Amino acid sequence: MTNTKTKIKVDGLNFFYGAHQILDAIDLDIPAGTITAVSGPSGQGKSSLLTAFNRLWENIDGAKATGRIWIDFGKGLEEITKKDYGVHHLRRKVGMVFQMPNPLPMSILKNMQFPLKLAGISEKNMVLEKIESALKQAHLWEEVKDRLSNDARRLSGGQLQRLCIARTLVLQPEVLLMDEPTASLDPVSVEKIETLLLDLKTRCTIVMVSHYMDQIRRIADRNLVLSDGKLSASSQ
Amino acid sequence: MKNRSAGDILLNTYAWCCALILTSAVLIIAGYLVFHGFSTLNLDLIFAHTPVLEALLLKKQVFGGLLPAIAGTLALIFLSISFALPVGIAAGVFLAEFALPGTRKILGLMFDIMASIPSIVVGLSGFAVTIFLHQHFFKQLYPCLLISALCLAFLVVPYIIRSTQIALESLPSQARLTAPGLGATRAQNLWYVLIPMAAKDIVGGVILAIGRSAEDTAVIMLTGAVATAGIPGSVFSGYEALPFFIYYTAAEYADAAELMKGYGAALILLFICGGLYAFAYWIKKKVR
Repeated sequence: MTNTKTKIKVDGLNFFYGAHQILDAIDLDIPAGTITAVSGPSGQGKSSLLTAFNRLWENIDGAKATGRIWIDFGKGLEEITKKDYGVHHLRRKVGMVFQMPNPLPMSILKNMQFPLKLAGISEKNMVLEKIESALKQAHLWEEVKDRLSNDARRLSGGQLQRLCIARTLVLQPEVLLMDEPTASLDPVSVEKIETLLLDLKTRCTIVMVSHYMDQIRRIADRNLVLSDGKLSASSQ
Repeated sequence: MKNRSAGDILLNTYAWCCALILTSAVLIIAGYLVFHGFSTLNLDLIFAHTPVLEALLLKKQVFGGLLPAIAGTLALIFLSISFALPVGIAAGVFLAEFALPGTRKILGLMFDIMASIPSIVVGLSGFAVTIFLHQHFFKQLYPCLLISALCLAFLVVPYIIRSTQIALESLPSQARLTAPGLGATRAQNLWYVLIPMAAKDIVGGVILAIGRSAEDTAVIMLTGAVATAGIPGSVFSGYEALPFFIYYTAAEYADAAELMKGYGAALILLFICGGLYAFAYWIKKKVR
C-alpha cells in the first residue's frame, strides 16, 4: 500500500434494484493513491457499488442507494451522499470507465472536448493542451494525433477503451472508477491499459471491478470480494 | 441444410412466399403504372401549353398541366412534416425519457389510438373546426393549404412519436450513462448524445410520415384541395394536389386521354415519394 490517507469512506451502504437488495450495509475505507479491485461472482452488485461513488445510480431506473459516502478532494472528507451535494461537479471529480468502450457519436476530438465543454472550459489553447495531455496519459496520442477529426467509432476496441479513459482523464479526476475495463480487449490492449493504470495511481485513486485474478495480482493493491451483498478482503 | 424439421421447412416456405407476394405486388403496381403512364410523361403533362421557363418563374399560370398539383403536394408535405416533426420528436422524447410509467402507458395508448383514426375522420374534424373558426373567429378562413397541412400533421405525428420513443428506449443502457458519468445534465445528455444516437431510427418514422403525407387523399379533399387553383400563392389559399387529381381523374374521367393523364400523375407521385425516401435514406446514412 502506497498511502494510508483515506480517500473514500463508506458507511452502511445499501443498494436496491426495486425491492431486491444487492448491497447490505457495506462499510469501507479506500486509501488514496491505490488501486482497489472488487471481484466476486456476477450479479452481486460490483458495478452498482461503483455507481454509488459518483451517484450514477440516480440515472438508473429502479436503482436506489442508502447510507453515507465521503470522499476527500483535498479539503478533508466531504459527504457526497448529501442531497444538496452537486452531482455534476462530483462526476467530474470521480470519473468512470465502463466495461464496453462507449464513444460518443462524434469525432475523436469532440469526444475529448465534450467533458470540458460540460465543465465550462472553452479557451481553445487550454482545451487543446488538456486533450493532448490526457491522450498522452492514456498512451493514445501517437496513434490518433493525425486523425483527431475522424469518427471515434472507427478506432479499434483497445484504442476506443483508451479513448474513453482519456476522455475521463481530461477532467483530471481524483478518483477513477473502472468497471471491468479490459473485459472485451485483446491481450496487447489489456497490457497497455494495465500499464496506464499503474501510471495513473500516482495521481488518482482507482477502484476497479475485475474478474481476472491474474490482473488483480498484477496491478491491484488490494482485492475486495463481493458476495451475497457483503464485502470481504481477499488474501491475494 | 440437414436435420431440418417439417415445421422449419413449412415456416421457411411460408416466410419466403409472403416476401415474394409482397415484393411481386409492389413490382406489379409499379410496373402497371409505368406501363400505362410512361408514355404520357412529357413536358406537356406538367406544363401543358405554357412555356416551361415562364411557368417555373410563375409568370404564367399553368392550365391543364400537373405543375400546380406537384407544387401543392410538395408544399403540403413540407408544411405537414414541419408541423409534425418538432411536436412528434418532443412527445417521443417525453415518453421515453421523462414520463412516469403510468403516464407513459396512458399517453402511449392515446397515441396508438391517434394512429388508428381513419384519415376521413381527421379530414371531417379539420373541416368542422375550419367552419367553426370561420363562423366565430376568422371570417376570412376557409379550407386551405394550412388546414390540410395541420390535419395531415395530426395524422402522421403518432408515427414520429412512436419511432422517436422506440429509438430512444432501444439505446443500450451504458450509452445513457456515458454523458451523465462525465457530468452532463439530463438535457445535455439528450441533446448531445441520445438524440444523435437515435437519429437514424427516428428518420425511419419520418420516412413513414412523408409517405403518408404525400399519398393521403381523404384529408385533403375535405380541407382545401380543389381541382383548379394554380400554384398556391399562400398557405391560406386552396391548392391542387397529385393524390386528389388522381382520385378525381379516376372517378370522373371523360376519355382515355384523361385517364392516361391520371396514370402519369400517379407515376409522378411515385417518383416524388421515391425521391423523398431516397433523401431520407441519405440523411439516415449520414447520421450513422
